[in-house]
Amino acid sequence: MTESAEIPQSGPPNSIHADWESEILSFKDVKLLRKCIQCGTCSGSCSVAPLADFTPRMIVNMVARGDIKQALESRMIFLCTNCLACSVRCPRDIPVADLMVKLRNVSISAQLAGLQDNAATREFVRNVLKRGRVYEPELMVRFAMMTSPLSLLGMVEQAITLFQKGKMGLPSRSGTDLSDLKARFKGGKKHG
Amino acid sequence: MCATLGIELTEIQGWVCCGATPTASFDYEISLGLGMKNLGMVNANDSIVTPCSACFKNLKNAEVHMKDIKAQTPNVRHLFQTIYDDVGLEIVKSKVVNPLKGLKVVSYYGCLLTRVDPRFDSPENPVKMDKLAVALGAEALPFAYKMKCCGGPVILSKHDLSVTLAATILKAAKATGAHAIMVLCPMCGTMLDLYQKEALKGGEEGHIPIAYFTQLMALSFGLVPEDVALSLNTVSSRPIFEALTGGGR
Repeated sequence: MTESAEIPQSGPPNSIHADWESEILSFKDVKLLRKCIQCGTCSGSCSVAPLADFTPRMIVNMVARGDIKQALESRMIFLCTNCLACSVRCPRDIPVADLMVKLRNVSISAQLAGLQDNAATREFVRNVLKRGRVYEPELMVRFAMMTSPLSLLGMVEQAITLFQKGKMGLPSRSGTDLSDLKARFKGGKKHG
Repeated sequence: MCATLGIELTEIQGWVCCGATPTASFDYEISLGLGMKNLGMVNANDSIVTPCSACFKNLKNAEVHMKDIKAQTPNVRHLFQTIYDDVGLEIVKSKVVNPLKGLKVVSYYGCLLTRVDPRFDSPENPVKMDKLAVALGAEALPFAYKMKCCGGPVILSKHDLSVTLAATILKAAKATGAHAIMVLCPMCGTMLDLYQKEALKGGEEGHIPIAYFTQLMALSFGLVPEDVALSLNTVSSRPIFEALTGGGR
């Protein structure tokens, strides 16, 4: 690739803002975004675009234009299920789904993500790293307590079903040393 | 079921969760780290086989990364690849003692499998699952929602959206007249099975059974009910048994 990686910057040069920008611009395929022809194949393939504020095509355009704050604040980046339909179909080979992941990483570390998204993501990772294996009952209860405790009532019936089918019991432990990943999880510096 | 096909499975001692989708959302490096720990526990000459799409994606990412840094790595396979590509349909067919005659199924790949590894199946018009269903004696109906996302990855953070996506697939599958949906991923299976009551509302008569592909294989191989394990599903499997004419019960 010979093309210059210069991407027009927008907004005032405030330090936190600059931090997000450099983080997003460190996305390995950021140069590819400028090859987007805005055809909308990604948006047409997306299962959740009809329910989102901005489509994947618009998110790619925002980042390519340097309007990173708008992209980070979009509901789309957390509605995305990372099903990869956009990436597979893109005629310019832009990894749109990977861009969504990168935006989520920064949105969470910059504390821009909403309560539900932040709690779901952090609690999941905390749960995985605690034993090396997910323990769903603990995850669901902790998530509900952080977001809407009453939602626990709605989970009772499913919990009983799972218990009766023998699919829910005591937690299992991997025993594998995950201290390096735990340190990364606890440390504020998560990219790099 | 795998033993019938001569596949020897050994559980990895100390396996860790692959991190599913949320871990990569938090920090891609942790997701990659979990995948690499799993690969590191397996002899590089062996294959690591997973029944799940999300594990497959994360382990595959780790495998690609290991190859990039020129490290030894076991081969990452989805169980469907092991059975369809490594063992082969001819051998599968030879093990069928109770052909699933009269059973109409739709194949549901879920989103990731055909998109992570281009060798898995065509990402636009996959047919291997249909061929497997036919090999088991069932009829595979055309299904436009084969690869639409089930909503599983966002079930925690976006519950309603997730259930809406599952409902779309369930309604489309019912509209084809299929007796069951055959799936390749336990997460899709959970979304379509455990959450079906919430997604479709209404009574049990309007529900459609969800079968992991090995459950239908075990049924056609004539294995004992404990090995078929359809009773462990949430939605009743009665429509499957009612559809089977002559044997298979």
